[in-house]
Amino acid sequence: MSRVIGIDLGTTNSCVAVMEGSQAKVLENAEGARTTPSVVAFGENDEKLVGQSAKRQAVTNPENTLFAVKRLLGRNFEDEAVKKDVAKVPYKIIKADNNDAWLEARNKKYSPSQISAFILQKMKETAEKYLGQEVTQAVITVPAYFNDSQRQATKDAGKIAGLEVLRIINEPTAASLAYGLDKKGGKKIAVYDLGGGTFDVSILEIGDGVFEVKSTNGNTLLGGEDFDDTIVDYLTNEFKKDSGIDLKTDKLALHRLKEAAVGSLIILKTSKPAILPASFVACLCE
Amino acid sequence: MVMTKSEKKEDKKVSPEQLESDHINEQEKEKIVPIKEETLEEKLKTSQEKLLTTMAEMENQRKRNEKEKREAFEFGGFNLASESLSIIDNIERAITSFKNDEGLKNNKDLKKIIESIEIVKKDIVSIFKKNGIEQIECMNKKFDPNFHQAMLEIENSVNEAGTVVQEIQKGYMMKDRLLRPSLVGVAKKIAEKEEKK
Repeated sequence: MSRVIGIDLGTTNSCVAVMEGSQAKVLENAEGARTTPSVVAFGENDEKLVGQSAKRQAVTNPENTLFAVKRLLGRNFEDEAVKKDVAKVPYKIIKADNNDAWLEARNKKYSPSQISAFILQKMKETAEKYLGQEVTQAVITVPAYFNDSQRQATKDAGKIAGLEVLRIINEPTAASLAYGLDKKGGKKIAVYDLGGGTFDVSILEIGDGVFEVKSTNGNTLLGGEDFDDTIVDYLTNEFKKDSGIDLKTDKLALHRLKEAAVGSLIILKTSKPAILPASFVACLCE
Repeated sequence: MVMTKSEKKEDKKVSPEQLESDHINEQEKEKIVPIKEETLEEKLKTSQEKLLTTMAEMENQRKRNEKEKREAFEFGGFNLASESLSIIDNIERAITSFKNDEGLKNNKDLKKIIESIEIVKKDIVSIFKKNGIEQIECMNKKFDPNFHQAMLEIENSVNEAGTVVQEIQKGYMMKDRLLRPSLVGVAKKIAEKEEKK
């Protein structure tokens, strides 16, 4: 009997889980990480990279490194959100024959569903490696505000990835289920979802195991990565004030500060205050 | 328990029906009897299948647990190792900092100080090696995103495009797992840029 996997296809990162007994277990990918960057890149010899390795080569291949493709799923090229993206991203967003927003990399055209399918495939492989068996069925989560065409595009992505999508579930509903809130029925709850690049808040009403999304809102351009950048900005500005050295021109210093900032946020979850362990940051500028 | 009771009830129900079936013609009897028997068979088959699946799943779970235990043992120190890399980084930075310090240039003890620090560094590197942590060699190799992270592109006419020409921060492997990628600068053809222009 094949196992059903649950996939959170995120804008910035994706995640896969299986049920073990009554609890969902998040699976680690081959690199030992519980999330995989939602990034797909096409190399020179039609080589395809997905996840962390795609992200690592982005600087050398920005036009063919596709990220945040979830923003384009099931959207018309003329949509305001798409227009904003076209102006901002280094890769090519094109208008398909049916007016949908598609992508172009290495002279090949891809639908956002196709690109998302590569990410889903990677998540499928992670689950297969863990389970030691083929996986053919999945449940995929989508933001509560996704419309029918965006949900369909997500389903299509699953199909392309070789998965039978049993259900498309709203992200806040999946979160509530994971916390077992369906068993404490008759409640109104607020779900905060702070992702890497987006922030959603939803109000749900739960009754008899039925979830109803009462309202949903958020900011599609604000997420955890903005928090990291803000901390790095603060640190570089303070450092410049104190020492007169501008770390913004030093890529390694910025990289180390960002890692330290992320680390400090993780420490802050359990204790405070956090000390940023980035010694010798100035000697990098010599 | 509930299931057995209901099954027994069904059994009781079956026998009077079978008696009644004597009045039904042969064709109909054939239709009814196999269906009843099939249901039981089916039930048995389903239960057997479920049992087999559960047993297989238990075996898989056991294998997974074993694998997880092995990995937890092998990579249990992964985070500690990853964070400890900054000790080596900082020792190297300290050495560079001493060497570049104008005020220390004429100090007779500078060589001694640097040598002592290098002994500490060697010690740490050997502890790391014993635990399967080794530096990634990246200079002049083809850029590989599985081990290297590109930080910048450097226009270069000597090396082939896509070659690592600068190591900004050393990368390390822990056994077959990437502990930290090498942060690198990658060669880029000058001509390529002109063509685009």
